[in-house]
Amino acid sequence: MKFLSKKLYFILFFVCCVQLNAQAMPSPNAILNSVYQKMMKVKDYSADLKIQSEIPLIKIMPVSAKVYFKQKDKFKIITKGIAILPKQGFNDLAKIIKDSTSYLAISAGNEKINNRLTQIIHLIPNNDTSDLIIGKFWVDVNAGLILKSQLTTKSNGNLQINYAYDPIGKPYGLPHHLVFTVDVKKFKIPKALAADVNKTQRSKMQSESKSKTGSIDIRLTNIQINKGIDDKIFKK
Amino acid sequence: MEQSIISISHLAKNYGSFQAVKDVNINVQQGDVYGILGPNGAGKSTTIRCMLSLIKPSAGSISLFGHNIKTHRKEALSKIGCIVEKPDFYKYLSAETNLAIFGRIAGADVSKKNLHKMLSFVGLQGREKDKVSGFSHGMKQRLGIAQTLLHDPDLIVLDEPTTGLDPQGIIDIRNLILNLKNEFQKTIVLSSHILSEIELIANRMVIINKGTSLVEGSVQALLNQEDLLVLFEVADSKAALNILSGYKNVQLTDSQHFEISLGKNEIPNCIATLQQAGILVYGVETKRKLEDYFLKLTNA
Amino acid sequence: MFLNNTYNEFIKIAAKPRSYISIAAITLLVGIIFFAMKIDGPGYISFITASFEQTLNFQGNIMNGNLMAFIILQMLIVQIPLLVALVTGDLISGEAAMGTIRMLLTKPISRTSILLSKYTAGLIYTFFILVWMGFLSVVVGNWVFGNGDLMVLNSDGLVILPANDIIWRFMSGFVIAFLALATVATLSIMLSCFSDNSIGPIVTTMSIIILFTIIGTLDVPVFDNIRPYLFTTHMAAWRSFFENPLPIASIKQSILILIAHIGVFLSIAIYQFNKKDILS
Repeated sequence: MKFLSKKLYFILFFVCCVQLNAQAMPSPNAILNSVYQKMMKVKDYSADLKIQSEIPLIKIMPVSAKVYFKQKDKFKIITKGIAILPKQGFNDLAKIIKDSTSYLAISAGNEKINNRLTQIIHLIPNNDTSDLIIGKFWVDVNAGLILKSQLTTKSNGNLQINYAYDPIGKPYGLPHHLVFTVDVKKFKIPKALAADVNKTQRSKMQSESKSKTGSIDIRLTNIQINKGIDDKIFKK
Repeated sequence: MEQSIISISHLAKNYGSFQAVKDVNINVQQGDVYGILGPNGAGKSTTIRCMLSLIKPSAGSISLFGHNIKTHRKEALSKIGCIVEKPDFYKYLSAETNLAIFGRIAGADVSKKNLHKMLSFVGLQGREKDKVSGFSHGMKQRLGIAQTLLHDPDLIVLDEPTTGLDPQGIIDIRNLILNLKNEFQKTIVLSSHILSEIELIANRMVIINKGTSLVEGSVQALLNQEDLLVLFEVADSKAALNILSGYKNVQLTDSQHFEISLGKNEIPNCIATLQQAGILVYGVETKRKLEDYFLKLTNA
Repeated sequence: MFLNNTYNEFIKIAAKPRSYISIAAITLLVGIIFFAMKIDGPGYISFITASFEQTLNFQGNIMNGNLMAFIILQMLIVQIPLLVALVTGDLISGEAAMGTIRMLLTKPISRTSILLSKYTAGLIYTFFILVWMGFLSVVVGNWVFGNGDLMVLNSDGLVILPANDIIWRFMSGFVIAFLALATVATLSIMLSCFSDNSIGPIVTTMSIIILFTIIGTLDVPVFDNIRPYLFTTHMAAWRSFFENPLPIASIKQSILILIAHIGVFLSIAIYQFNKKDILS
């Protein structure tokens, strides 16, 4: 009897622990939703950008720009020069994780990034026609911040984004530093314009990218959140 | 001793196997009006072009004002004004501008005042601003003379200056040349195949044929070496011929005219002989001898 | 006397109607390019950036005056040399055809001096053409399309140059372009010394440029040895100033080759002009 009681207590204790644990770890959807809710606190923001691109077949110096955002989807980059930005991932993350019914979110384990424990969440769209094949997010659950994401699309291959947050952006899930790693396998120079009469040597023209990836480093400074932005800025 | 302005010695010019000039010798003294005579293709223009450094001689030497044209071209040409063949100008420019362009590099005074003065001198007053494209041949010739004189050269070279001109134009050019010689003491070299012009204007000449200079010297001296051709107008030329049977080269022209070759000094004797024979003499005329002289030389 | 005759030559060039054909042609060409780019510029840009645009977004004023100026400078390859040769190819042979060469060469000025003064006047004209093109392309282009970074497509990729780093590149490019056009002018003047008619030297100059350009761009091993020494290969050397980093060695080589060609052509021209019998 005494032996049975000990065993019983042990089993009960184990079950309680599991129950408690289950109640303490939120679901992937819940995690993404909490991240989304944080992002939604940003009604508008503006910031100075410093964009540094290292992309095969493109030589460009660091560029300064100004970014403006206003709910729901007003977004504008103003630069005196030419800036290269990734087509995805800069201002459309919220759209991707917004509607939990349009995707299946699966937990895929944990990983430490910069000594911070993150939960890996895979996001698979329910719709076959979506360009996104799979999205992976490394979320610091405690802080409610995405530290890394990887979007695999039909049109652009893999896009990996690393995020860093300063004290101003942390409460809003607004990173101050993003590093995009883009897939450049499909980059090539149009042959019709690539004939270079200046070349004295007949050499094989590098019309296609040898390297597979390129990077775009964006730093935001002077971030102004929820200070109000005139709609005129977003007009062309 | 008179200064030799132009000295050409044993000039030759070959174009491949063709000899345009074989052996031409010319000596022009200061103050001369010097004629270069010759039939077409004789080598006159080639000689003049060599003289003015337009053509490189194959042999011989050319010196102008004591300067060798080969080694001191600039000094040699600095005192020369010339027209080679017809004067050609920039058709799209005015007479005044054309004159200024050539005058500027000849070292002339190209102020508007001087240009207008020169244009007036050659009879082109009022046409200063007109484009040369609207000029007649005679007007271009005048403009050519103007550009020749603008920098006050000591030597003027004219290659066939009366070609294409009407009789009045020819007279004008002749008078101008004589004026330049007498009033301005210019030395003038001109080539022409109008022999009468040379005889009337030139005091010295050279006759060139087939690239070779045949004779050179004073026009009068050359002509005086030969008999004159005298034309008589008489009452009865047949009777006159009988009286003059002792003379050579007597030719009946018509019933009242005959020609006879005589030395100048023989003319009075001939007239006296006819009068003594009772033949009335109405007129005596010495015909142009240069033509015959020229033809004789060039056909020989 | 040299300066006097250079002044004379410039009067003649300025008075000839054909001298203004070049200016009118350039103005018209630039106008057409501006018009085309205003209407369909984005399409042109898309053609260049097509393969990048799936992944990247190009922000900013790409279709700006600096890009227009660069596109217009490309005309230097064929069109401007023709317009230059139209005037410089006529400098000696035109006088021979007109008969004025007789009047000119009996003046107390050396033939070399006459040739060099014509050459100088021809170069001044060429310089003026280039300045006019530069003004239209850079100044008017920036006024019409605005300023901005310059996106240049080379054989090894896109180069995007900051706006504040452009002016010295254009100026340097124009200097090299002038050297290239001076080579064309010298070639045409040299050919003009061999001819008594106006058209021959102009047509021959263009034929040589086209022939050498074809040889230079044909990707055939047999031409590998001569290609670096053709002056047409270096006529586009101005583009080197729009690379990052600057290919200094390549630029120096191009300058040397072009100067060498100018030297050779000019020497031949002087020799021929001094030797020539004036029979017209």
